[in-house]
Amino acid sequence: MRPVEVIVRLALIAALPAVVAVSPVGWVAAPVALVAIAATAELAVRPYADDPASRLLLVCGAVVTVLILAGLALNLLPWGLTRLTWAVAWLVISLAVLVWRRGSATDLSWLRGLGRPRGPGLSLGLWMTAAAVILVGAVLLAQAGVRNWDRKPVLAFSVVSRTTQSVVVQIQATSITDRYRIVATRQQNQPGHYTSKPFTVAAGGTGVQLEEQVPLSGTGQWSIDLQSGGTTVRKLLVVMGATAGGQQS
Amino acid sequence: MSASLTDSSRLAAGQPAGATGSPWTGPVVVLVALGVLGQSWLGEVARASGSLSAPLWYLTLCLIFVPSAALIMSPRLGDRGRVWLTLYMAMALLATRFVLYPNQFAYHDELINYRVLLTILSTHHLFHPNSLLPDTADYPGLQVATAGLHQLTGLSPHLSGIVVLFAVRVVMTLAIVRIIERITGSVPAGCLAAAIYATNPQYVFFNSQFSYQSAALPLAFFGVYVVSVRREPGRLLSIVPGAAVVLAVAASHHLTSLALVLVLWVWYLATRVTRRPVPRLLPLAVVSVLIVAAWTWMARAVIVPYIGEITKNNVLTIVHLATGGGGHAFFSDAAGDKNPLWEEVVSLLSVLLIACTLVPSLLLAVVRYRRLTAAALVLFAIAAIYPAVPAGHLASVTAEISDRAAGFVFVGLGFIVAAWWLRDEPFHRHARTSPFTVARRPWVIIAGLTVCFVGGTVLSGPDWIYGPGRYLVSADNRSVDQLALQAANWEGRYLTPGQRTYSDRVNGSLASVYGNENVLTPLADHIQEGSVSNLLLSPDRTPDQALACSIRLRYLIADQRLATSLPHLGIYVDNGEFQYGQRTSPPTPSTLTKFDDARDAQRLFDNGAIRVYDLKDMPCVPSK
Repeated sequence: MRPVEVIVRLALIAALPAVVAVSPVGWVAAPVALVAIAATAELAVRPYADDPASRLLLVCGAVVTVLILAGLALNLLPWGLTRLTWAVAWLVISLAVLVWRRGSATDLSWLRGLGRPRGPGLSLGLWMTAAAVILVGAVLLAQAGVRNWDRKPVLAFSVVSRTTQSVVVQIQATSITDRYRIVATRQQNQPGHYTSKPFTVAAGGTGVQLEEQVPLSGTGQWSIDLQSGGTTVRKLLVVMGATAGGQQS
Repeated sequence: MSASLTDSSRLAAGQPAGATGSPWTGPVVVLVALGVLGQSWLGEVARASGSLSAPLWYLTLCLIFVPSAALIMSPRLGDRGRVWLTLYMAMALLATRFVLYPNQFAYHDELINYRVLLTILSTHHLFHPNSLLPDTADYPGLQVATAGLHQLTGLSPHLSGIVVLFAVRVVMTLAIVRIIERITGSVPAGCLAAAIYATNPQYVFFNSQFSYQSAALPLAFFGVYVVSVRREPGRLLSIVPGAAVVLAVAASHHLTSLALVLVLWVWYLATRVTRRPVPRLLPLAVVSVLIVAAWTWMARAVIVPYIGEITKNNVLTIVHLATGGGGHAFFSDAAGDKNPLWEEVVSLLSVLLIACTLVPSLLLAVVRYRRLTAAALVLFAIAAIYPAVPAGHLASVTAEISDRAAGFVFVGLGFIVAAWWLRDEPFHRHARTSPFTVARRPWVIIAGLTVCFVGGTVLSGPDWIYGPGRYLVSADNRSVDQLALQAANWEGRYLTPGQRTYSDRVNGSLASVYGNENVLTPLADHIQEGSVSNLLLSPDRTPDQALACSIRLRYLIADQRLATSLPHLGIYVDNGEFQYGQRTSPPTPSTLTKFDDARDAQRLFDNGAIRVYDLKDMPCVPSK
């Protein structure tokens, strides 16, 4: 292996723990890490495959196998499977592969042919570029479909926290605009009532989340209604204060 | 067997030596991409309109498969191009799954396995219990590889899972191509076998899911391939790569690792019959037994009950059928949704076609067994299991097992059909006049492959299962909608995690995955589904409080939409639930809201469809 290749490979090996440590944005970290993993795997399996397809097979199989075995080994350590232990493990594996395959130089002569494509090669290249554009379009279209789907109207009413005298309720809405009020009533004909001021929920496609504190003075079960135009559209039931006979500790 | 096959040079007759291209390569590459785009568009339309168009779904799938298969079989394409095109087709078929569900795992098995991944990421250790399906925690190979990729690359867990699935699909496809190529000496045979493998009922759908078998199966093929890679002969250490792969398989999936051990031993025994030993095979077979036995021993607490349950259900079903009991309705789900007639016809035709190919191919093995290699004998034996795949569909329980067996069986089937089609010499001494012999015109094999591809995919499930659309009751992907996800995400944010929770099949999975709750299941918690499911499905309120107390239930999640239809997968919660197998109508709406009237039960969440109850303060004895 020539010194230049050793330096490039060492840089790639160091790049992976570096991206793990620095945690740059995904579109920087992921390609660097994937290239580093692929370069190590390709070097390891090189003697066992004499054509690109077989090499790809061995690279993918070896990477998945080694990730599984490395994960099993990391599980035996007290720290387990963390970003740091994965990075250290891959660093050790990469350096071991580099030492193991130090006599195997990379042949880059095929790169010279890439610079001047013509004839059938150029034509196929254009077709493949068109296919790549279509595939990217397919992914973008799929994601747009999901975004539209997520914009369908939903309205949730829930209890998110409580004190001994009140609860905080949450209204989570998407693609809904309406005017509501919250009405709390103590159950079993006991005195106790609360009505909030009317408020407007104007939720677009990305949704909104509102929280309201509802004072509930008095123990026992309360019904908390979310009403629109006098009609209960969502309803909650909460129990205030300690009760006997609860099953959970 | 290799001598009887058409070799690459013959198939490529008329092509200059070393040429790899065909004028059709470029257009086919674009057509395949258009197929993926078509699937993406169908998903988008299905989300907006509520239903996925089955004919268009199959048409766009065929846009990927048919031109690829035709070009793979073209004599104008060289070996190298053939292999890459086979791989491209396989990748495109896998990509169709992700353009339909690009941002999340939506299927039941995917959610189960995703739960294991999330647990690994949060605890940094393996083997934490997974109540949804306990054995998945003890076979975390796929999730470990995904966790590693996620933590090394910074990709999201979901995207890392997709990358791993693509990697194992590369392994699966190229391993089949190379294994068959090594046995037959023919690249076209390898590529044809890979195309035939793509017609198996599990290929497009089940084995493309983020599920432990999806990783284990390709790794098992990889293990066989690794055995065949030339290394230093005579060194015992040379079995280390093979043993490493076997360990990875053992850590990924129970039945696949057992099947791999079985294949290695049958292969070894076949070498004794053919008297042509394979280097390192016996030591690897021995080591494999030790590895798989050791892993199974470690996982015995969960795997023995799980396999026992499956075996018991299958035996009971077979006995029920043998004693004249009825099977399940073909081409129809439990809620009465039927596949269209054309799908039934194509599906039956595909079974018939495969059976018609299997008979003469097996005859070939019997007649010429002295000329077959040990590996070829093993593949013939595997292919001979094929009748069990359609036969298993006589009952829904056995259908699941037989369909999963297809993942193995179709490797053998791919081999024998490829060997039969690309043979160099008469099939047997009466071949020229035999009714078994068909003219080997390209359109015949392309038409046959197309029928088997569509028919095989039809066999894997009802139409609704393939993609998004309007909400359906107990229908895996089609039950995971905004309302279900909204509830699950709320549970994860505001409920005490790890509490004993009970719900239906889909909302239970989501409560476990996104809600971080301990969802009760018979396998993990030894609850009696027959009685516990009364909480959700029985109108009788009398035993509810005592029942909830007896299982120390904290949260109950009730989806009122269960009252709108029978369950499409046959169960609302799990096997053995209230009125299991006898239900003719859905539960009444009041059944699913009965906890509104239970004393001190708190309804903490309501989104119009799903209500989450906290039973913490509910007394154990009903009030008078």
